[in-house]
Amino acid sequence: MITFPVLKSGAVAQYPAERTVAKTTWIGRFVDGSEQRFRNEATGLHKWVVRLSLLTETEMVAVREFVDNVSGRFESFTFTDPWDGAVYANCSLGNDANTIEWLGENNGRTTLTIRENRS
Amino acid sequence: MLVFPQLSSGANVQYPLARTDASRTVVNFLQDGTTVKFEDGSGALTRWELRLESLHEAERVAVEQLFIATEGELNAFTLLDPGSNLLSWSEDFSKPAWVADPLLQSTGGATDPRGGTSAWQLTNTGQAGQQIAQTLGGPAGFEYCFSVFARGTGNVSLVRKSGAAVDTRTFALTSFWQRFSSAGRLSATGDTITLALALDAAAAVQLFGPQLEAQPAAGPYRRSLGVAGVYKVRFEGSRLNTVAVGLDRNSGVIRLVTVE
Repeated sequence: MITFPVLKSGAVAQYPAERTVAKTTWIGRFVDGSEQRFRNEATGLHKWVVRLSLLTETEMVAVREFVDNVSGRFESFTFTDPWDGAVYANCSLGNDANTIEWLGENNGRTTLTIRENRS
Repeated sequence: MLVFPQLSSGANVQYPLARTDASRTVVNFLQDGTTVKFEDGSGALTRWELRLESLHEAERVAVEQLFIATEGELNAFTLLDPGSNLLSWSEDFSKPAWVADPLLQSTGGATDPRGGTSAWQLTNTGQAGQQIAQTLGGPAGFEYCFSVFARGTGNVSLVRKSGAAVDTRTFALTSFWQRFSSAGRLSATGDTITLALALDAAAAVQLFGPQLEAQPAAGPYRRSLGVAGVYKVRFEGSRLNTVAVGLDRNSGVIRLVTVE
């Protein structure tokens, strides 16, 4: 089972961190202006944006190995929500490409987007 | 061999630099939120953005000559990845990338200096020196730094060689982990370089984290798996733009992408 890499501090994310819950609704609008709405999905799906900075070389290698292991958006992995500790077993990266910037020695920066998948 | 040049500092890039690893996945999003995915195994590539500042004229010319020699983005050349350990399998001496002399026994799972169990116990059971080596396809005449963490009794030698050119540095070990490094430039013009860890007869040592970098001193240790940090790349784009910001001071942004 692939799990999201943990930083040296033991955390999975740094501030500022971003969390989104999405629920989609089908909306039919009629000529008289009225609407009819239907729930599209049974439950909402989560998305997290994890912005990491001041990464050590070891942490950067861990991120690179993780992105390589999951082949971008392809593979699913387990992600623990840093807000409430809830474990989401079916998540994947939101992008196929991941950029790591070296701003100096042991000073890396990257951003990962994680999406919860519908099981 | 066409290769991205080293700067006069002995390094081949400056900070900041960026590396992008990209794969290709085809995703169909269905109306109920489920997804159907297909992986394009051959669609993976790596990009680098190298921001170079205050280059001497000779350094700028070296990059420009490479651009002309490769005819822009037409042909490939070698890049020694500044963000990677140039050696492969830095924590697994049992992989075929490492070639050990016959009387050298290696066992994994020893306690490493980071508190893990990724160090290796190497024992020379012979009556003469034995070594374990890895050969890379990179320019032999570049500035390299070969480093390793080691402890034990006796000596360990770090060897850099290409053809007849050999540089051997021998270090005395203690029971504490120490990081040893051997840096310099070989008087060689070949396209391969061999890095070896040599043990005296009957020596028993623990080794962790061998690393090779194309620079004059050892940087932070980076674990490597099956891919060495030597890439075939090409320029991304048909123009090489450099700006003279002062006398003998040039700057530019170089974008490279893997070709295989």
